[in-house]
Amino acid sequence: MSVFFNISNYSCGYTSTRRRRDDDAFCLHDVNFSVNKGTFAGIIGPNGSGKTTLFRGISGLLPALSGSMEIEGKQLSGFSLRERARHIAVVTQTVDAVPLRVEEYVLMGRLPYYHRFQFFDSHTDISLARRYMEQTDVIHLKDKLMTELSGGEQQRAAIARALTQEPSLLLLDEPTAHLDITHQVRILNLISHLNDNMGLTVLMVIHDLNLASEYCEQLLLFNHGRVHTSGTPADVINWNTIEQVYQTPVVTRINPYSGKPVVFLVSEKNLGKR
Amino acid sequence: MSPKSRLWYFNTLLLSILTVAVALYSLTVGEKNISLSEVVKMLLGGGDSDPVTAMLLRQVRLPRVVLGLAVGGSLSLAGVILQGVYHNPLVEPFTLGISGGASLGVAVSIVLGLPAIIGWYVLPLAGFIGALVLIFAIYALGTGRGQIDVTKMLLTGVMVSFVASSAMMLMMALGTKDELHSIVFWTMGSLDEPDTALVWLTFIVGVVGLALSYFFVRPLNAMRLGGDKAMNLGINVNRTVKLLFFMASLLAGVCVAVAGIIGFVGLIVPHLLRMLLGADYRFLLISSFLGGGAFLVLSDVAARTLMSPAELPIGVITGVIGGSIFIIMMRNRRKI
Repeated sequence: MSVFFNISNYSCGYTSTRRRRDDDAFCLHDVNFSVNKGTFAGIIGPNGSGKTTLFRGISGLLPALSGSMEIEGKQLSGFSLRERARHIAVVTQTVDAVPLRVEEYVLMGRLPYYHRFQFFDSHTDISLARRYMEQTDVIHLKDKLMTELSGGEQQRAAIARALTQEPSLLLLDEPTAHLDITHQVRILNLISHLNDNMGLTVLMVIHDLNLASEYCEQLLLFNHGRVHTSGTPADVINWNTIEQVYQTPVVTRINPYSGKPVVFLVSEKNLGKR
Repeated sequence: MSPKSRLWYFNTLLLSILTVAVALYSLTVGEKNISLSEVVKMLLGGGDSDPVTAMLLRQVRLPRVVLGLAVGGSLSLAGVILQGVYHNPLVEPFTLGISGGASLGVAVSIVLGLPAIIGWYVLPLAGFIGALVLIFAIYALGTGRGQIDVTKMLLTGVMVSFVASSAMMLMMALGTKDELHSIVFWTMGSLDEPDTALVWLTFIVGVVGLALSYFFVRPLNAMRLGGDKAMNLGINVNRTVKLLFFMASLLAGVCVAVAGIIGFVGLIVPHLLRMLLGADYRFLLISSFLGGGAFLVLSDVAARTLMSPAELPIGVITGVIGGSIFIIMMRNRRKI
């Protein structure tokens, strides 16, 4: 397995003109990690630990303060936004609820590929969009407005749009937020399939530690803008590390079915019982 | 050809025919009605009508219709672009203070007595300079060095506009009765522009603006998702916002310099078209231009004929008719 995506000594954050309330939050300090081709990697960590900032850095919304990011050995800083969009697709946390037909929305994924004077989608564009809408099972919704879809459907449409960008790296920011367990599992199974079948490298921010453990091959645990621990779920999800980072008492066990670690939370009341 | 592009050609053709029809109709009506066949004959260079009618058509009505098409088209185009850039449906070219700057420029030049010294063409020039100064002021004040904050830019525009209109009131308070009258008359807006060259210049600026706007059609469409998401799709949002702001402002600046303040066109026409056609900018840009032109020419017909021989201020017609149509359409619609 070759290294596909590599970040070294990377720092980024909001410069003084756009500084957020808390100076240190939302900043990354000296981040190092690498992801192999075709890996499904999860990024976990408490609120404000820099997960979303990392995504904004990778997708080019935030300038780097130092360090470098490489994708297949090429420096990301040398990419234009357009080139970046051909390599990296982002599915953000907030759903793209605009009054736009699903097919039109998915076709927006072709924007980074349009010629200068191309105003209309080519047959290739349309067939690609349809293919990915079929894969994410939203093809039957193609003439509906995005605003008319349920949360899970919107999320799948957003993934179809991202796939239509034909990226080699897919960034997902909490794709399961606001979804019930049926849809959480459905979305993650879908991503897992895409990861297996298309060889897509996936970086996913996720709050649910159990889902992260169950689905991801590699986990990066962020804390205070740094990578605290990284490795397989078994390396990262243990009570010691989780308690240290989240400052919350937890119990960990092994999922008898998948053999992956699972985290249990304990209420203050029950904690006193033992 | 994809179904979408077929629809585009169909839509554009239909609107073009409609606009030409409105323009021809407008050429026929007035104090003296000219028959349609005669109008067409004279436009094609032939015709054997009397020289007075020919002159009326060529030197009075035709420039007026051309100016109507240009100003209506440019203002709607500027409106639709600014609404897209600012993510705000209430923006029109004049909410940004461009009209305030132009009026202030004109008021200053009238109070200083420049028209009497230099000539009447100083008014459009002063209006344009006034608008230009404001555009740069808003830009400089509203944009920081880093990423553009469109809300800040919009609020700055509105505030600068207030300052400019207060300054204009001061000019009016200081001026004589005649000066006051000239200022008010100019601000009301009119398509009556005696200088034919200026009319054609405005028309060319409008058409060039329309052509240039199509370079930004993909960014505008992507920005419907929001700035960050457009950037993730490879759109340089900062550059797009800056260039489009200047383009739309300059279009509006030229219009206001030549025709005075004609409100509502830049707000109503884009909204009506959004309701009818959806928010795809490939359709909206050209449709707004054509629709805005047709709307203003029709409004001008109403202004000229409703209380003939007196001529109503065209801004009154666009406000009353346009506003009413808009309210009715909003009521009959499910959602904005």
